[in-house]
Amino acid sequence: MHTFKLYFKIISRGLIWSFLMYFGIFSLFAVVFNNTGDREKSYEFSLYKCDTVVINYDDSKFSDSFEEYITDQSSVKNDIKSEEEIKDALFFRQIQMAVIIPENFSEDFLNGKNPELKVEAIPDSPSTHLMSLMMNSYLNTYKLYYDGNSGFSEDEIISHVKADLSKESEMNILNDSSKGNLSGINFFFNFSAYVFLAMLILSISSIMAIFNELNLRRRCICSPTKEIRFSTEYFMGNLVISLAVWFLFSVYAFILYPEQMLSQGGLLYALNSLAFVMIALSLGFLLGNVCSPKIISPISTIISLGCAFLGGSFVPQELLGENVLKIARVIPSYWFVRANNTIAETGVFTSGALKEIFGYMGIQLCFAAAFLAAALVIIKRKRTASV
Amino acid sequence: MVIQIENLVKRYSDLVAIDHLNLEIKEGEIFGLLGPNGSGKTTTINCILSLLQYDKGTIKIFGKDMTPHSYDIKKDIGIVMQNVAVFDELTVYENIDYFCSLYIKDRAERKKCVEEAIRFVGLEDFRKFVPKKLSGGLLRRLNIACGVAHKPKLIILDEPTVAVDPQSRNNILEGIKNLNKNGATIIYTSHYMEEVEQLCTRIAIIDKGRVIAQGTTDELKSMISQGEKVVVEVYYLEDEDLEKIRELPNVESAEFENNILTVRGKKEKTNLSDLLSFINYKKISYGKIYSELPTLNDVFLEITGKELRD
Amino acid sequence: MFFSMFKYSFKRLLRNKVIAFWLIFWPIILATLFHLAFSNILSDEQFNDIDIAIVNAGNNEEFVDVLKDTGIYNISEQSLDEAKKMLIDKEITGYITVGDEITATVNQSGINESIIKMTLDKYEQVSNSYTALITANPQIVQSDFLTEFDFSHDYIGSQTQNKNNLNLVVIYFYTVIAMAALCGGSRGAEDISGIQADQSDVGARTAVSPAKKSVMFFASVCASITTTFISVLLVVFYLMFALKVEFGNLFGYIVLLCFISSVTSVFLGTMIGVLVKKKLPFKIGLVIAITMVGCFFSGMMAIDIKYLVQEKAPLLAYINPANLITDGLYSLYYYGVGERYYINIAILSAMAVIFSIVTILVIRRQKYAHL
Repeated sequence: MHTFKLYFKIISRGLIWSFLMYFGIFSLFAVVFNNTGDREKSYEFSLYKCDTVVINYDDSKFSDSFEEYITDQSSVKNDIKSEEEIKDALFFRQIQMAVIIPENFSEDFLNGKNPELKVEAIPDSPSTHLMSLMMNSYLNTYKLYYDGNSGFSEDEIISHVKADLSKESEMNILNDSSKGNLSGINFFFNFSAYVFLAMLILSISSIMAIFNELNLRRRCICSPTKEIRFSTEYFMGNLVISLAVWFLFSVYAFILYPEQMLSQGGLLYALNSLAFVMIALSLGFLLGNVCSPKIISPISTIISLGCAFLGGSFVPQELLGENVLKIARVIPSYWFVRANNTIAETGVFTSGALKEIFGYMGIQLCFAAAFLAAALVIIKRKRTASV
Repeated sequence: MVIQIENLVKRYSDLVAIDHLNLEIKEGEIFGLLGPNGSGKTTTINCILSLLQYDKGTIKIFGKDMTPHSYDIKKDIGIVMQNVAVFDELTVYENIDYFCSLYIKDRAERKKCVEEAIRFVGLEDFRKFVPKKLSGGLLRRLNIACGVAHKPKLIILDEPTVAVDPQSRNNILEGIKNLNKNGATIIYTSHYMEEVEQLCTRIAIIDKGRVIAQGTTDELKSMISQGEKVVVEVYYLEDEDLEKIRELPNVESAEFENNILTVRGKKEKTNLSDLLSFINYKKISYGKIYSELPTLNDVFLEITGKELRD
Repeated sequence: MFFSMFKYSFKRLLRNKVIAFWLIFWPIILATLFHLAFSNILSDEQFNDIDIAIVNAGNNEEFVDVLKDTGIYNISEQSLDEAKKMLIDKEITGYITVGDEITATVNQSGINESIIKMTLDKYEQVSNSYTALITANPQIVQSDFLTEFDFSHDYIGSQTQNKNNLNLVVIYFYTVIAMAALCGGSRGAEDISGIQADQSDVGARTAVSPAKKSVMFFASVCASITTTFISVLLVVFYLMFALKVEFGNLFGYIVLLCFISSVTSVFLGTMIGVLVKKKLPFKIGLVIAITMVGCFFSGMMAIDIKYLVQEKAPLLAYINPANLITDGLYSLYYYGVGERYYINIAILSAMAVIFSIVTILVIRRQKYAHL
């Protein structure tokens, strides 16, 4: 077990700081990109409020009341005023619509000239449809009273319109207890795919690079200790490191989401991430035996980022393109994320649901086994080749 | 016979690195493998250790065929490589202990061996130092300790004194002699002729992958035609006196240039006394005078020179 | 002498595989990953007709007709159980139950669901409005007014935005270009190391030769700027033609921006090279760290961050070279050539000048206490 002990001596003296640094940075990322907290799923419907800006150049009671209505039905940002600010805010999706009420709008409107509101929005988007529906509703209702010779004063029209538009239909949210509610923690674990891959591949291959240094390797090969013994002890060292990382991450998850982690879903998340850690471990082991120290850094960056992007760790799988999803099936983290997403959506874990989730874990273990097998083949070939 | 190499051939695509090499190393010898850079010394060593695959030939160690899986043979071999091979993260003690553990499983016995190895290389004051803090010479000593701690029967040292200070070098050479006294067979490769001459019982001179000469130091020196060389600082010498010197018995050649008279004697013959008598007789005034016996350097130059001419 | 030094510096850079990777291939790989991952990310913004089911449609045919007239729904008539199942399976956004009251059942409080609500609200509200009007003005019934009144008149004007102009995903690609440009800083740091005796053996050799340090420095910096500029352009071409990323049409201004970015990044590297008293690998690490932090704050990992910095900490936005490059490209794409673009160019140029002056001042004064 000397090589195994040596492994940890080397880590504790040589690599511990980079190890902690990676863990620190990645943990920070996980927190920064986290959807803060899982809101309790609300079973009460509330109107979606678009982020908007209203600029009112028309100075009249009518336009003020109209503006008030818009403010009521959407989420207005008051600190965006200039044209450039509006354009930027729209581009970065900080607002979905900017409504500009032109000067003399009320005059033209009331005189039947059918003026148009100026609008800066994302063309033909759902939010634009919603806002249009809402604003046209107010204007058309007002017009009805105004043109219809109701005899109401301006204030009376305004209050009638308000009253009419306050009548709301009943909206129910389907209470489906078979649906789960774990979106925040889901993102955390999906993101962890990147963390595990990046950390473990880099750490494991750095350590393997030290052991594989030519002269040290020669010395070891010339000894009567069998090579398979060396490989086994390296692998066990890697395994312990991987389990340690997994454990740390699970504890971190528990600190951030204590209730969710204690549920059935939380346990499944932990198990699924263990399966994925096996992939990261065997992939790191394979790369450590294949790559020279110089190229290990770019390779690990490409692999970890590639898997994270294409597997759905950064961009949700629902938003990935069709073609991408087809390619993604050969990427191990795809299955990890798929399992996580299934756990998130499943409220009650029936045997059918569990079968599906464990199936995804099984696929991941197959990947791990494949990488490990490839590593063993390469190690065997290195043994018989020249050193 | 500890090592028997027959007809070894190793090619690197077009280049023949080892060209039908034959070598026998007997038990208890300090066998020197001498040759210039690129002659194939390290390649030969790597083939012996089964680190390299070779194209033709057989290598037997302790009478058994040597293969990458000959673990029973490996346990009796110790290697000290050209490049220092130690772990930067471990102290001197830990490095020696780790490599010894690959050979010796018993903890008590291993501890004893490690302590002895540290004493042997003189690193008692540096046990807790990491390699980064050691000078070149001390690093080399550590390198040696890692290779010999398990008291192997055969020790192979590949250029162990490159870039080493004179104190460490003496220490290393003395140490090797002691190891040999304690029963180890030593193979020592180097391009430092003086060391090999000083240390080795038998020497093989290798060039371009072939053994071009083999034998004890004396045997090798007797291969060349040159004998003793006498150098005299003479202020003035008549041409006819120079001719007379050339006619002295046992004189191979004599040259006079820039006040230096160089007289080369015939193989194994000495002519210092004859020469001195002649100079005194002729009342030729002289200043410094010294004589040199041929070295392995001369042997090598002469042999490879012959090769070239052939 | 200048041209010979330039030639050899340039050759060394061209043959260096590590540099080629980080300056050209890595940005290309990253951009390709972005392209694959983000290709569909704005699909949510395209409005598609909403799938709904109606239960007990027979109770109010008029209402169903009104729904069909809106033209934004795909309607199917289902039983209650069927509709529930379809909703659970997300085949429909919601189902509407027609009875004495018209209610809708949905999965969540989303935009499409809110559109359904508004449609339902409007149906109720319109009849209430008519009723209120008739109560106030009973004669209105006799005229055609009520039948002719267009309750669906659209007062929303043509939108001034072009959909192509709003593709915020391009920001990710612009940050990749910024990253590629700023990696040139590592070349700058190495140029300095090559002329400083205490930094490298080559530096010592150079210091001892009769060649003027300033010429050497200038030649190798020119070579670095040239290679960085070429690499950045290669990345831009790849993004433009292979990945079809939108840049607007102002190619000349883009090239200008790339050139100035290359100059700034190389001089940033040389400034770090002279001010930081550590070995070369540390300096390169520092350049890369600055690059990545700069790219982070210009939105590489989450676009929102660029906007946040712009709004809450504008000073940071103005001194972050990665942001200046990203913002320059963004302004060309979104606003065309204008004040914003020129401000970015001006600050980048000023930075280049400042960095180069600092570098030269420090080198000139340098004497070595120990090597």
